[in-house]
Amino acid sequence: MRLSRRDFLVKGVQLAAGGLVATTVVGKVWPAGTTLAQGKEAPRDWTRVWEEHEWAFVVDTRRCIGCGRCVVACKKENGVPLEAEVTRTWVEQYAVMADGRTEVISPHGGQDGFAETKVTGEMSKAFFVPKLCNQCEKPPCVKVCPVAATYQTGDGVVLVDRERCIGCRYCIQACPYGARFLHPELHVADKCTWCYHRITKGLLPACVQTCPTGARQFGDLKAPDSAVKKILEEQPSNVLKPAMGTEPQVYYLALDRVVI
Amino acid sequence: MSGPHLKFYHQPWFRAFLLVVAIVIVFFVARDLATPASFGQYGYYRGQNVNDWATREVAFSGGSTTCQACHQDKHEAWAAGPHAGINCESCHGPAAAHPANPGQVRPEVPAGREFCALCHDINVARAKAVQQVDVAQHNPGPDCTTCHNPHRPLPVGMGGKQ
Ligand code: HEC
Ligand code: HEC
Ligand code: HEC
Ligand code: HEC
Repeated sequence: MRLSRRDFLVKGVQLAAGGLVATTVVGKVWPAGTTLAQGKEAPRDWTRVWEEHEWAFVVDTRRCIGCGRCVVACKKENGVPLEAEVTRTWVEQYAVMADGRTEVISPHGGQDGFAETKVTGEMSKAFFVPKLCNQCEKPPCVKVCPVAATYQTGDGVVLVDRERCIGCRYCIQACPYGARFLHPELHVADKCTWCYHRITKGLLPACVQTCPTGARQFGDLKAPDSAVKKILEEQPSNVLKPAMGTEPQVYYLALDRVVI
Repeated sequence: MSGPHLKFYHQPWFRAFLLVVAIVIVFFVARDLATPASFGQYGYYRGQNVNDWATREVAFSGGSTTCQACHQDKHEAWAAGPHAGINCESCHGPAAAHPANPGQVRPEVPAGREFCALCHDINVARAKAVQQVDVAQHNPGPDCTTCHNPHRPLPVGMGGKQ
């Protein structure tokens, strides 16, 4: 049989289309995730898990001593190089001078403490403020992602899909808190996850666990004897930049009004 | 051209229709191939990524009780002293992998006056609840640990350093 060029093209297109449809159907009926090789840890049904939790982070600025152990712990727990200037959490030292000026510093995110940068001179007050991702209920960073690489989980944590992120930095620009950065080794957007791999195992975030004074507290508002819920019910608290309408879930106790 | 003798599948309208159907099929198939398996499982993102994050290994253990069984003496001294509020790994660094392989995976052992100074050096911004000393003036020279047991740092005569 001799095929005309036309028939050849038509048959070819038909075959290709048939193949595509077939692989799609097979892929639907038998998704890649169900192969035995990947069955190491059975994926959880997250919708169920999420219903049971509502996480909240409480920062008590009166207790922070600026030791920076939280910053070091965070970097080690989450694979952010110690020598990198970027960090998922950091500590700022505020000094309100007698003349009304406010000096804010955070040398190397505060990870080596503040021994070299002690405040001197006439001052009306000074204190430390730990910062991290606010896991906003209305996260501006999620909206701007062009490839759907960042999202909010059902229990309120904003995560980045490292396989999808193209490193365009829109989200870094969109965050009003400067909580996002480009990972120096992976070249994808990175941010605090409230140690999602720890909290979903029932552990505390690394920064909370290593804080020597309890300046950082974390908990589940839906837990029966929730300590953070009690704190938030009994004490007045603030969030950062409330006027932005982002609805942060990191609550600050005794936050000075000069903090922005 | 389109006389009544033409079969319907030779009619131009039918060919146009076929073309539209083909384009629609190609669009859906291509979109499906370009979309990762678990996309849309929970929302407008790759659902599998939630597992990716949640199943990461921890570096820091669950807490100081992890260390109790093997470091009974340290834990006892620590639990009774003023450092009891500080997690072992706050000073010793991540140690989740250490118990399974204590000889190979060794936690950090902090040393030097600068280490204690991180929390105890005088700084006006520092919460007064933590005792502060002027590290440059307070018994300068020897390591703090020559006089203070890091696990029970009260000075000699105040119930510390054995
Ligand atoms: C299964 C028992 C076990 C557990 C649990 C354990 N350790 Fe150890 N640890 C050891 C042993 C054994 C050594 C001594 C290793 C050696 O010298 O070869 C050691 C040594 C150490 C050292 C000294 C390392 C050095 O280089 O001198 C530190 C610090 C330490 N452990 C901290 C911890 C902390 C913190 C924890 C809790 C997270 C912990 N250990 C839990 C068994 C344990
Ligand atoms: C305030 C910081 C701090 C905390 C908290 C702390 N350690 Fe230590 N640890 C030290 C320092 C500093 C040394 C080094 C002691 C020295 O140089 O004499 C040390 C030494 C050790 C050693 C090695 C001792 C040796 O002789 O080699 C072990 C084991 C140890 N710590 C276990 C623990 C355990 C377990 C806990 C929690 C119950 C803990 N540490 C909590 C600061 C700390
Ligand atoms: C991560 C922070 C941190 C580090 C590092 C640290 N301490 Fe402490 N220390 C504290 C806290 C918090 C307290 C309890 C509050 C208080 O009593 O000052 C404390 C209490 C003390 C006290 C008791 C003070 C008192 O009169 O009650 C002494 C002494 C002391 N530390 C010495 C040391 C020495 C020596 C080191 C270094 C081996 C050290 N600390 C490292 C945080 C730290
Ligand atoms: C030569 C021994 C010696 C050395 C070294 C030493 N201390 Fe002390 N430290 C003492 C004694 C004794 C006291 C209690 C009397 C006093 O307040 O001076 C004390 C008290 C303290 C207190 C409690 C202060 C208070 O007012 O209650 C702290 C905190 C402290 N030391 C931290 C440190 C730190 C941090 C270092 C290292 C930078 C260090 N010490 C080095 C002997 C020492």
